[in-house]
Amino acid sequence: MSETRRQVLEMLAAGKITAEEAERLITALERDTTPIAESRPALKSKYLRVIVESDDPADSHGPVRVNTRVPMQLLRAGVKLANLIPPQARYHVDKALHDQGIPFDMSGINAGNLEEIVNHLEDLTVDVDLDDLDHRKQKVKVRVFCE
Amino acid sequence: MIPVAGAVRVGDYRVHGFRLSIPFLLLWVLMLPLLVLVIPVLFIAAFCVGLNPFTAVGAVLRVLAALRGTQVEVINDNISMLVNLF
Repeated sequence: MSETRRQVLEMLAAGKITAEEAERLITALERDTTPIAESRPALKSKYLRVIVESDDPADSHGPVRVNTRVPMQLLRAGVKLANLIPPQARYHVDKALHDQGIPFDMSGINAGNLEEIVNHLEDLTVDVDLDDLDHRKQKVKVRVFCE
Repeated sequence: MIPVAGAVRVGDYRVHGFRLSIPFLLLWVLMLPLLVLVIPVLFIAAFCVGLNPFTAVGAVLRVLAALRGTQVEVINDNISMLVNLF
């Protein structure tokens, strides 16, 4: 029992407040302490969609559009598989990524982190517009969202 | 459940291209004898690197099962290609 709830019940026992007032206070306390994530109905996004549109004037084939739909379950399964990578292999992967200029730590990926990312992606659309990529007058648009 | 079929469509998206259906179910059945041979090797490899072989095989199967619903589509002015796993 929380301290505030105990105080409300003590006030009720002492006759300082009525039963109706105590009930209203406890209801208000419960509403305040309920986490936002719990009060919000869980959204069930099944797929992560990545759309890339590239327009390179130097390319004679015209603009290219790549539309990818990846099941969320595949992301989760991939993270679980990545967790099985032995530490010595992880070290080599991290080192290779660092050498390529990508400061990434594989040990930072776990199921909890992924769930957090997925929960945020459900509410999020990421739009990336790149103009004049590599000074080639190339335009790239990337959209990442869940559906 | 692992993908039981796949479809590949290649061609100009404005007109009908050709569509190829791949029955993965048959492929899995054909690969079953090979799997029986590969599993002991996988178990030995998992033991050597200090992994629980059942966990490792389970994780691989989970990835296979999760492939269902994957779709990749590439379109440009001349050609379009669509790969779908069911």
